[in-house]
Amino acid sequence: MHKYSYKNGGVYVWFLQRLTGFLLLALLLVHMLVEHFTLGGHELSYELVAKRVATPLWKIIDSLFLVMGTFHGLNGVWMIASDYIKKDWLKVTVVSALLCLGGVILTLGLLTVIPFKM
Amino acid sequence: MRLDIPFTKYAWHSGTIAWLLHRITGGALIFYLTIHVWVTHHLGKSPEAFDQMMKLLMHPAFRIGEIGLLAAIVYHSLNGVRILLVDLGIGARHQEQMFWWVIGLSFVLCVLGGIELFPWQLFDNEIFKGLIPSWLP
Repeated sequence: MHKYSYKNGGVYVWFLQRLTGFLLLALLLVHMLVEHFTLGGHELSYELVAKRVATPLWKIIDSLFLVMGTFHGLNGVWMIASDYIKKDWLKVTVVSALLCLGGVILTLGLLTVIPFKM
Repeated sequence: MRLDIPFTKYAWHSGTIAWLLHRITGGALIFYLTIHVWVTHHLGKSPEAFDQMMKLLMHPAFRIGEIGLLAAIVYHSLNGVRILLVDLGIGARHQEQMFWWVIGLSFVLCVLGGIELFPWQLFDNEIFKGLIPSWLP
């Protein structure tokens, strides 16, 4: 009943889910315009993509995209799971598993984006 | 009227379908994100690794999979906007009407994107050429 109340901070998670959802859509539109309609189109080459990814501004944008996507996605999975899970030990297990998966996605993703050089 | 949907306690109406589709597409998208990060990691290794991975991704099976990805993203985005509008109190009264707009717009965008993404070279063989009447230009 108090899943999204102010008392346990749930309302902030609910708000963050909306905020990241909105920002992800904005970033997705930028991504589609730049990557698929302006640059190369069908003919995406390593040089073309690498030149973009190697710039600091795109590293920031791609990292934000990754962090928000991971949060929005895994929090979404937790929102679904918590509808059905009643046992406390199972909640702890699922949250731990999701945090681990988030750690793997963010580590691999950020290691791909941040140190990238052409 | 209440119908039994497994694991839920909701009745069927447009909002239920929207909610169910949002969860299914959301689950598919986090599955895709995990694979996407791994694939991108390989794309960034070297120009050779990039070309090898891109060659694999150009396979018809992946092209058709990409149409499914487009459908999931388009629906999840548009229905997400609908949820946002309802939560902000702007569109609560029109939420059912907005659901049909979401479905219609998703359909149009997926058909347009699908035509672009579909691996038409699949039809570029003798079996299919034999099926096309000779009088067609």
